[in-house]
Amino acid sequence: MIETKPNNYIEMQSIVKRYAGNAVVDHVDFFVKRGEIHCLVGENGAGKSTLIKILSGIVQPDEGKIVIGGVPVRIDHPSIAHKLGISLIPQELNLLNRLTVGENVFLGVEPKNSLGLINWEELYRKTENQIYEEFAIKIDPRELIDDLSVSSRQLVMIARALRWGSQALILDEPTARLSKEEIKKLFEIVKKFREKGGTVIYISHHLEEIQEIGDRVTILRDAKKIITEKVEDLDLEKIIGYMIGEKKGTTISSKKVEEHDKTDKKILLEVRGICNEKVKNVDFDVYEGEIVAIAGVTGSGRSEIAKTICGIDSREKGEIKLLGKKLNIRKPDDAIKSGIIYVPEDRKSQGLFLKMPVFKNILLNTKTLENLSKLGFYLLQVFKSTARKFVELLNISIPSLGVPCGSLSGGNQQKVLLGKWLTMNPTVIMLDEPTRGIDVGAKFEFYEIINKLAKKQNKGIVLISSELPEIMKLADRILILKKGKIVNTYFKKNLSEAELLNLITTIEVENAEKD
Amino acid sequence: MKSKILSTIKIKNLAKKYFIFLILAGVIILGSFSNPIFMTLRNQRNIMLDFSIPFILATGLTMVILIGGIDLSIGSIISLSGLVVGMLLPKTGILFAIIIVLLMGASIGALNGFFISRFTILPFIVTLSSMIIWAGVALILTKSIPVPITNPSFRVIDHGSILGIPLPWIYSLVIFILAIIFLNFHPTGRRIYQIGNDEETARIAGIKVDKIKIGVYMLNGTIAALCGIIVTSRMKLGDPTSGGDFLFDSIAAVCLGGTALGGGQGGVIGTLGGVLFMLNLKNILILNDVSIYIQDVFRGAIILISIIILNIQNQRRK
Repeated sequence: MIETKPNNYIEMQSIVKRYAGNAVVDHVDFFVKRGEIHCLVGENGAGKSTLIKILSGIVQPDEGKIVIGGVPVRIDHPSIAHKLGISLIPQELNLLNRLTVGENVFLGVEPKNSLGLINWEELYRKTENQIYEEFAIKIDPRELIDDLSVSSRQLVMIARALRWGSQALILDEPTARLSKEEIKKLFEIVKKFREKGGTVIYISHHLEEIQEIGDRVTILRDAKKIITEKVEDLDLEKIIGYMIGEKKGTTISSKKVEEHDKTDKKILLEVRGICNEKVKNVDFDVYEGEIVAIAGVTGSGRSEIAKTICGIDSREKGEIKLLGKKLNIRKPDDAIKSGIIYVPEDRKSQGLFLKMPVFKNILLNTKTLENLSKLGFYLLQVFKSTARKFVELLNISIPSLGVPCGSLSGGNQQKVLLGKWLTMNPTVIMLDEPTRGIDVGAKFEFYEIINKLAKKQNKGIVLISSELPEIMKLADRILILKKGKIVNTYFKKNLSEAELLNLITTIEVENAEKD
Repeated sequence: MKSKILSTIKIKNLAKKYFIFLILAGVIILGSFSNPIFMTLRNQRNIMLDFSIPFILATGLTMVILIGGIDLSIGSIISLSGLVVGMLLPKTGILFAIIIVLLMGASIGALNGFFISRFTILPFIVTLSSMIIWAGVALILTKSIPVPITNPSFRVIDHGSILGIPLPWIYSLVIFILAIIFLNFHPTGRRIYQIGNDEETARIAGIKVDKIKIGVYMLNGTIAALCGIIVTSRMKLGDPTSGGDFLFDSIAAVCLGGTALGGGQGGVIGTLGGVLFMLNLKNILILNDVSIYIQDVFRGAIILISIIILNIQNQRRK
């Protein structure tokens, strides 16, 4: 039984949340003092998002208590969180896009005149003043949200939270889409809020931000709270160490790697100068039998690179060569026909037809159907025997080929998805978070399959993953991605997991500019 | 310098918002070239005599679409209201007949709104069923035979005038002004826009989304009933099939006026333009002796093209 400390403003006591039997938040204690900037840190899947969703009323905990200002509360709905003075500023800002800044800021609390009608003059005047006084920025309150930049929209959300009387702001990865100047501006505003007595819960992967702005930091790992400590008492190495559970100061390279001599292998994929909104001038190569990992924090553009190469997102500039031949990829079908496939993150909505039987899912792609059909018709037997081959190859455990895909476990679904793409005999496979949401046993099976595809079948694999242990197990080379740019490439054998985390979370000091 | 740039942007934005009026102007110009009768005072007055019912109906529908919904049952409500008022008139007199029928419209609307918000069924499905049910009820009540209106004072509702201005124009004007004030200045009217933009965000702000939705459908039902009363007064008949054409023309007018089907943007001023457009278009086709069937094809095609143009404009915005 944990006692309530008097100067704690927000107390989340022993919070538990389970999804499908797995605890995503495991008896976490999270105490925030009034007037502090408290950072919440942890790798993907550590439980941060769920914890703050519970605090902001989006999700209900299975066990545990929440105490605000000494009073135990139940936060059943976001509107209750607001009444308690807690506002979440999520990554996907929820604003009313076709309405004005002023109307958004005053949402629900519009000033009225004696007739009960909205006094727009007052509303717009107050909005403009509020934004100017609190943020030292001029935003036209009559502008539509649609016409604003991301950072301005964020400010509007904060202004709205303040107008609703929020005393605690939860900022979820606020700097993911901001420029350096905008980040500086945001920090000024956050610090000012603290000076006035406001409390901030700040979630970020950018550890140097934590050091700049945080008072205390709570580190989560694998659904448990590891430690809460003053930021000044921790250095970057320690924080990373707590995040991944290794001892601090590890600089020795970890696993033994199958020695891979690049020079006598064929080059499969050459990517040069790929550019679009999210991807900035990306160059890399993939050799035969190689697993190249793209590592970066959320929002750095990992999926976007793969999607751009494979024709799903539009490409403004750049060149793609496969086996030395230049490709003109304008739509997904081009990539598929050339032999580059992208296995998406979200298998349920982007990869499988859940209601259709397994064998149809495996074979449902244009190339395979063309190959297997005669005069446009297909023989069920031929279909099934081809599908069976891949089921065996991938060790998919199913009662029969005819069961609907939706009834399979996550791991098996992912195998079916992979099977579908393998039937086309691709040259390069891009896997986006291939083992997300899959249990440990299936994960290891997958690692074997991926390794087999690379080392035995000589395919080129591009692995996009936010799970660093996975990258460390599989990758031969690792590309470090920051805000759409590949800043460096390392051979896995030269890196430890701690170093990898350090690399993707710290800000790069650009050579030309200096703070 | 800065204000000059701002005002060009503002003019551009206005042009985008009220694009329908540009299209309307185009149609009017075309019309006057196509037939000399078009621009005569008499012809224009004739057009405007048909104005009120479509406009009032479309105004109600505008609000439903603004909140992100749709109401396909308005035609059936018109038919049902018309004949019920006809059936009630001899028994209850004008005032009570009208009140009862308006309450009936409100109830049908409330029923629609209830199923849409509490059970989260798509508005399209709920109001489609509603349309079919109430049309059926209308036929049952009258056994398909229109109800004649024998009460001469009832005619006044449509045929009466004050100082030479036909009463229906006055109804339209009053409803127009009320709608503008409501949607732009009244908190509940703004909720309609807010919910139409993002229901979740509105809920988070503590707005009672379900209640407001039901309210809007109720209001729309009442407006449709009002139109049914005016139609019946006009035709001196309570016709169970009178509601038919109104639905399509209303939806078209609202969409052309810039109130997108997703909700959250647009308004009654645009709807005004949309209704004028539909009426003038119809008139031009009739004056040029276009057969009724070809008229339908024509109208459908023009509406489709106009909506595509509006959509392209919207896409460019993003």
